[in-house]
Amino acid sequence: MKEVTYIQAINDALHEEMERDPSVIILGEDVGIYGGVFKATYGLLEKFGEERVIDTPIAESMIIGVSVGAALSGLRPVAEIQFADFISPAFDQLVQQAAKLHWRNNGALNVPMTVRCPYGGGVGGGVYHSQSVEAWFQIPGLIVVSPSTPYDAKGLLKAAIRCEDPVLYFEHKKLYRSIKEEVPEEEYIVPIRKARIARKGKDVTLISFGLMLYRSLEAALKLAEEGIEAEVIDLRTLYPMDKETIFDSVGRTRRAVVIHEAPKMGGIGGEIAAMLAEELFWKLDAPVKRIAGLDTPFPFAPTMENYYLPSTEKIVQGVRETCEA
Amino acid sequence: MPVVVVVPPLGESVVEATVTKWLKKEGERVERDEPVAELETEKISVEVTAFKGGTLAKIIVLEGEKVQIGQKLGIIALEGEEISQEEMERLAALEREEIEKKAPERVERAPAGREIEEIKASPAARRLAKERGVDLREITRERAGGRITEKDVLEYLEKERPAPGKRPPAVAEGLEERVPLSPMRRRIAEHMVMSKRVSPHVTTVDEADMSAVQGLIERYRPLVEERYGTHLTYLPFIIRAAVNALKEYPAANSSIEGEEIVLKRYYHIGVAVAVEEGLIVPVIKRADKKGIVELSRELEGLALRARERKLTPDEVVGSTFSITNAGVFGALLSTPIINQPNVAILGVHKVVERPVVRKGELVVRPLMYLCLSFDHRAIDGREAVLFLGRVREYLEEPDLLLLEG
Amino acid sequence: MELTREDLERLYDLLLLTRTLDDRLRRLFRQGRFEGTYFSAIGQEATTVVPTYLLKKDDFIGPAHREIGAMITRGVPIREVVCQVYARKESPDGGKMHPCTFGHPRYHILVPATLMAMQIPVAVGVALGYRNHRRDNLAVTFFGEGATCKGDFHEALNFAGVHKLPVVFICQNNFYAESVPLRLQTAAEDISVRAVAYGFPGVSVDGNDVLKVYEACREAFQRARSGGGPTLIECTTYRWYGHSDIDLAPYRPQEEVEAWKKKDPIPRFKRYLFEEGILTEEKEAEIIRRIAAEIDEAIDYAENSPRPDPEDVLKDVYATAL
Repeated sequence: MKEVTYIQAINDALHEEMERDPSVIILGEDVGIYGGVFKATYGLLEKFGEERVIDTPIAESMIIGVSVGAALSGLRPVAEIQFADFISPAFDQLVQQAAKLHWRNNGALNVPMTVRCPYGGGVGGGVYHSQSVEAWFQIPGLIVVSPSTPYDAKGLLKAAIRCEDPVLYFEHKKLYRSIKEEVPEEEYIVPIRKARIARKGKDVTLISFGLMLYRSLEAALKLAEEGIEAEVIDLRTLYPMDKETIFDSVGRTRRAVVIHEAPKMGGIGGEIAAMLAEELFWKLDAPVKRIAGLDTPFPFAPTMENYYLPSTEKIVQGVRETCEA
Repeated sequence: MPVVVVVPPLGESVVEATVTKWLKKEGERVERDEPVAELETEKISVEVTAFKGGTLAKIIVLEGEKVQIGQKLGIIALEGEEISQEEMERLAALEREEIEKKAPERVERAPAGREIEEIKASPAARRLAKERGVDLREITRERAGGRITEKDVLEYLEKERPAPGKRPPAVAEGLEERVPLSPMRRRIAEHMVMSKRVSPHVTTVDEADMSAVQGLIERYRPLVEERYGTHLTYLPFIIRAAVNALKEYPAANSSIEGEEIVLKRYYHIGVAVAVEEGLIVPVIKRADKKGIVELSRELEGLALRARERKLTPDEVVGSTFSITNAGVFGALLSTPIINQPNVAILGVHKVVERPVVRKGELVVRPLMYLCLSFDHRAIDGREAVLFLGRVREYLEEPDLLLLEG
Repeated sequence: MELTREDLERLYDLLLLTRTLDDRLRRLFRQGRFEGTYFSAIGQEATTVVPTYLLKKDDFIGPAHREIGAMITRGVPIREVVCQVYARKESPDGGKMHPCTFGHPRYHILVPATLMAMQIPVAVGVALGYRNHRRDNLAVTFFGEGATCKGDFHEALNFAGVHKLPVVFICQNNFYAESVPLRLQTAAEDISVRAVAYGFPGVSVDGNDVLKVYEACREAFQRARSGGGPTLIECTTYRWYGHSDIDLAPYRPQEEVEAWKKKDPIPRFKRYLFEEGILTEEKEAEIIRRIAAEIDEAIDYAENSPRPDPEDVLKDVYATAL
């Protein structure tokens, strides 16, 4: 075992996968000479050369479109969109091209590609360097994953690179260097579409991921003092979701609270709430609650940013309401 | 196998066209890709060409009629194919795929419902049960499954543990019966409410002396029965009288579409038929082209098929004017509701012998009230009254029908 | 590659087959034989048939939505082409896509996303794979002049230029982006000048002249295969009919349409073949007869071939079992 940060786990996964499989390539803005603005791709250019680690022009749509083509001719591209906020120009190539290509070609062609997207708030980044845009990609044909721990960061990235489908990999910037964990030195994979129970409990299920997972776990500790035992689910894969784990947990606790950073309206919390209402309605003891970012753009000034993001206090309060209902 | 000529796609957003001209007659030879008919939309006019060569065996939609994209226009018999008239009628009623004997489409199966075990109780029911200390399992035992709602818990509380001073149910058991609306009843209900809401209804009444028609019927009924196999009644005469009057008063044979009144130069008459579960209005197409005997036969066929619930969908749509006969049940007078999107409906009634004054003398005549409900948006009183008067005139002097054709 | 007499005769055969099938499919659409709409490529055949003919069988083609000629030239059975248009189960896309989403993965032609310019970066990516794997292949992508106004075109050409990738961009400039005339699309003198900004050659040729298209492609393909990088070839041409078959193209003057019909690539090529003694009346009649029979057979086949099962929509959303 060795203790690594979340970003180190990502960097390790990239090194190991590129060594293991010569078809893995890296492309994106500043990923080569500079080693990535967050240093996630540090050391790769030196080790694997210019043909496999490509500093691209500032052209996100091209980065994704070229990755699709590269995937079609036997490469396994790992593209980096420097900030998830910059992904919008590539929307067409992701949603219309990559997501539908396998289906369109009646299953005869695969698009094994990974798109790494640093995302998330709490870093003082302002609107274009803080957003959580995972809900834009609830698109059949795409897989969206988001690790919350160094262990998962490494295991999920490896799973994404080896996956035959296009995977969007959302990595939380605030967790890069704030979370450390011991991970095995031997090879492992974290399976896609498998959520994890981060804390056992019997009274209510908190469903979350990323930075919000840590706030949910803190909230669970405080709630335990009041006698409320919260179960906490770390989603890990956001689309398509691990319904089984969610339904199994909520079927036991009969209460659910979803926590995420993205605006509440149109967020993945709405999808979870709808699934539960549709299929688990007769087992629920309380309405499903969503604690989420505000339905506004993401603000810069710290006073506003703190107000915008779900805090531990807000989560505690929301869970209390759910348990009283 | 025969080939169906269909209305081709006519452009994005276009759903409807009019058949302006048939370029081929029934029985005429058609080459592959040769034009057979002309259609016109608000935007363009297009030729419909033949997919395969053969003989134009049947024209299903006549010139001047409106058609939808994909609708069957006609049938082409391929080289060496003989299709009898009866077979043709049958084919015309089928779907295109059935005629061209395509591989049958697979029918979508409804996905199996996901069952969740345990007690199914709504959150509201659980809360109430918890508040009042009710064990939900007792209610399930009683209901033998199903879902428990707040109402079930309340009923359980009323019955098992009546609170002091609570009033008994308003109606004692057995005095009321609740029957769910059948799909047909619901459709009728919706249609009637819609019609009353959409159209300002006015009903005008006239009275027809049915002596002449009665005389004709009495005189010719046995002959018609024997020669044509149909039982002569008042209704075919009424339909003819109405159609001839409609030709003079086109506003009564119209519909309102948006900002326009659509005056129709074809006469499809809906005739209300009572069936066990409710009411069906089959349509006699092109009634103006049909004689009394033909109308009589068609009426019998439609009524029979209506009662057996065997009408095809296109036999119950497309009316331009409707007639309802409350007389068969003994009604003297009624104010019918308009069959949308028509703008008028003629109610006809029991023929009753009543004393009337003719040329200063009191005489007994078979009389019948004619009631016309009309949509005041499309028709004014003067027109409605004159129209109805003309219907009466045709009924009192049916010879005019012969003269006018 | 140099064209032999057999090649020239074969090219004529393919052009005629493409034209005849395209024309027949237009009629079938108007006879209501299939749903959706139809995008005719009549008038533009030389711009797809000739380049495809010069490619190796496993070179990648990234088509737009008028590349019926690419499918035919690659040797996709006509039955499958008609099944595509009819959205039958045996279509290369399994009936999932709209008519004229011409492509066939087994023949190295992508079933495209028919949104403008989207195939261009993909072709560049394929070329990147060829380079990394040291494969002697090249990627070709087709698009209209309309697509050259979109960002994906510029981003892709720019990147391809930087890395000198084995890709050739073939623009069929038919002067209209649906209804918008060229003068409202660009102030540039022609489309091929756009290559200058990306550091590789751009050429403009008469896309209705089979031999001119051949010359331009031969040079560009050779350059790309030998590591010389991409080329943008602009083929000026004209689509005889509307953008799709429900577009009557009222935005084009009739004289313009007539003038272009006189520049029809097929009779022009035929004249050349007759002058060179490559084609004779008998040979041509033979070809026409064979094509007609082949097309009739394919249509009959598609007419009677099963439609997709409803549940087929659920297949192949993901390659991975999730």
